[in-house]
Amino acid sequence: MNADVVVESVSKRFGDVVAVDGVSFDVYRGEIFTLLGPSGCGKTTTLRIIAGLERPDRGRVYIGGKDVTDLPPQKRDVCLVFQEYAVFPHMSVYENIAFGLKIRRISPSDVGKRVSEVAEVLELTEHLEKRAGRVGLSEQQKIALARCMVVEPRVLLLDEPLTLVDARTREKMRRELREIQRKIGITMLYVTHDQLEALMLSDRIAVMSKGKLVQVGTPIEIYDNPQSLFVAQFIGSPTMNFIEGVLRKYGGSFILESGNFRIPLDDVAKLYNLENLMDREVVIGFRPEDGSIDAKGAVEGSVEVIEVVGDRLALHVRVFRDVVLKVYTTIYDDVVIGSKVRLSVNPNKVHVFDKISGRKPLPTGVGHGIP
Amino acid sequence: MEFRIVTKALKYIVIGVFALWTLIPLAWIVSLAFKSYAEWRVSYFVPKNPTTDNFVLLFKPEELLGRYGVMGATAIIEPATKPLINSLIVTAATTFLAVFIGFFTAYGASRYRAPGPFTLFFTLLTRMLPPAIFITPIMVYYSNLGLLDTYFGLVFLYSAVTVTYAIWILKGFIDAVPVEWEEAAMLEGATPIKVVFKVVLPLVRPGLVVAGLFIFLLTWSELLFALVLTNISAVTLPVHISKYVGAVGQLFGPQAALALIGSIIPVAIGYAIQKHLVTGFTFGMVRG
Ligand SMILES: Nc1ncnc2c1ncn2[C@@H]1O[C@H](COP(=O)(O)OP(=O)(O)O)[C@@H](O)[C@H]1O
Ligand SMILES: [Mg+2]
Repeated sequence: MNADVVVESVSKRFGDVVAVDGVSFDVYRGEIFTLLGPSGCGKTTTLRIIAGLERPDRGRVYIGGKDVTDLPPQKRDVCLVFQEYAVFPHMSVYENIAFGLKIRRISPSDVGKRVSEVAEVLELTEHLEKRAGRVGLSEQQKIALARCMVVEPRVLLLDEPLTLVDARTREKMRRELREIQRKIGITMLYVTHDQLEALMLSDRIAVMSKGKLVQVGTPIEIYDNPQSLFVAQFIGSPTMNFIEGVLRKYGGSFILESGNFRIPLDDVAKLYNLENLMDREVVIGFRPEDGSIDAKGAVEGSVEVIEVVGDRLALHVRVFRDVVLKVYTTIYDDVVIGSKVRLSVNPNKVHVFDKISGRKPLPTGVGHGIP
Repeated sequence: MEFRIVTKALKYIVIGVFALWTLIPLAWIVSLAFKSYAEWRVSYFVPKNPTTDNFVLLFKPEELLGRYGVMGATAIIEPATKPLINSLIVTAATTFLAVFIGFFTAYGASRYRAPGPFTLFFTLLTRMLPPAIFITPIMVYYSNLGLLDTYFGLVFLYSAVTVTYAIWILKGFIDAVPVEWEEAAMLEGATPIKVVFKVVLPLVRPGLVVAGLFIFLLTWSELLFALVLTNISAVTLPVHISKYVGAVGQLFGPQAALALIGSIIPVAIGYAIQKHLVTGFTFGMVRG
């Protein structure tokens, strides 16, 4: 595959803060690639390094196969849509969108044509004559996007472009962004701290934490097979259920032990090589949709909270002193607050992590679909 | 309610006193400019026999002696036309140069940390010394360099002195322009120099007007440097005014007449750019 952007071992510090720490990834031609991570993890800095607004301390950046590390922003064939301050409020919407073309000394008639084309795609036509500072926030974000689209860069960089618009518009614009990207086939590098947005929008996601890339994969891979405790905790809404304990082996059986609370892990042990984690603190996790009420389940608890979620019930079940697990059941199940229930979990969907390092043990290679 | 009226009355009193304080000298100049020789030293305000003689004499210095006898025996041989033109040239050139250099210096100081905060403060520090301290060495240098009594000499010194104000005024305006706007322009293909001219400059235009007017006024009325550094060909208006001295005293009439002409020009300019001034002074608040 063709890589439009190659980031190679890039690092950047600001004084004592290591903002980006040895990050490498490729963005392929025509995909939406998302950098996802909590605030302050170095996403914006990575993007600004690719755009040429920040110099990396170490590492190289390639765009379209060319080493651009030493090139200024205007020679890189990329455009960045900022989180805020994206438009010139004193100019009209038309002038804003035309700015990049006028800078390039494109003939006025061509400028007019390009601007109206892009305005059409983004549904900005009716606003063209207005002052950019006077239109709504979502229009302003579209203007910012339009300003980049008219100059037809090889790669479009977007830094949390939807954080300022209201929730309903955000959802609509996500879909539109996706459609526009499909239509014009541009390569997009998208930055967000919103995991739902990343899962909806992306072809591939790179999860960042504290300046490092922790996992790269398709949304399904990231959701279904988090490679670290951090990713498991960060992705998913509602979040995964987690149970902490020490991994023990009694007479050939693997057990998660926390005080006198025990969970058998034999089914999970078939999928992961757990020997290295023996007698260490581990965290196991599973998503609420992978657990269920089952009379033959391994753990018992009492129902504490019941939420109605569409045609399902979300049960919060206390199985131990401070362990509350969330599972889904149908509204036809006969549960009330205080009911004793037993839970079982699809063993293929149970994740085990070393509590200290956050890492996942190696798979045994059986049946889990991990390469 | 009563409190409101009291504060309002107080406000008007303060404004009134301040207005009187600034306007009375100006009114006195107007009065003097139209008084004939006999009335220069009397204390009433409205001239008994208003005359335009003082204005005529500005441009016909050779008639001074005939008109005022020994009192009119002065060193003035030139009509006031040349000093007026000199002042316009020197002030315009200084204003342009100081604002131009000041803008780029302020841009550098605002966007890059290179000069450090002290350098910027130092430029202001130089303004705190009394000019009389360095006028003598400058005169010696100028004499050796052949810069005495030249436009270049005056403009060079004036812009060096006033650029400080341009830097400080403009830095505030440039600081208010979000750096993201410049970055966005760069990513849309603008070179750094284009960013400055297409993004920053239009946005700080009110600042340029404010700084320009301020420097114009300072330079227009500067006396000390010009008095020391000019003699015949580059004499400026304030220097020329000071030359209307007769054998036995000041020629108040022509002095007042020339001062009046000299104040009309900045007032006219101020009036012409009034609109920019208002936005200039409120720029920081308007942005939001
Ligand atoms: N110009 C800067 N000067 C100093 N520290 C910075 C600068 N830019 C970013 N940082 C720091 O680098 C880290 C990463 O920031 P950033 O890339 O903006 O994160 P994100 O976009 O993921 O929220 C943060 O700790 C931030 O405070
Ligand atoms: Mg950010």
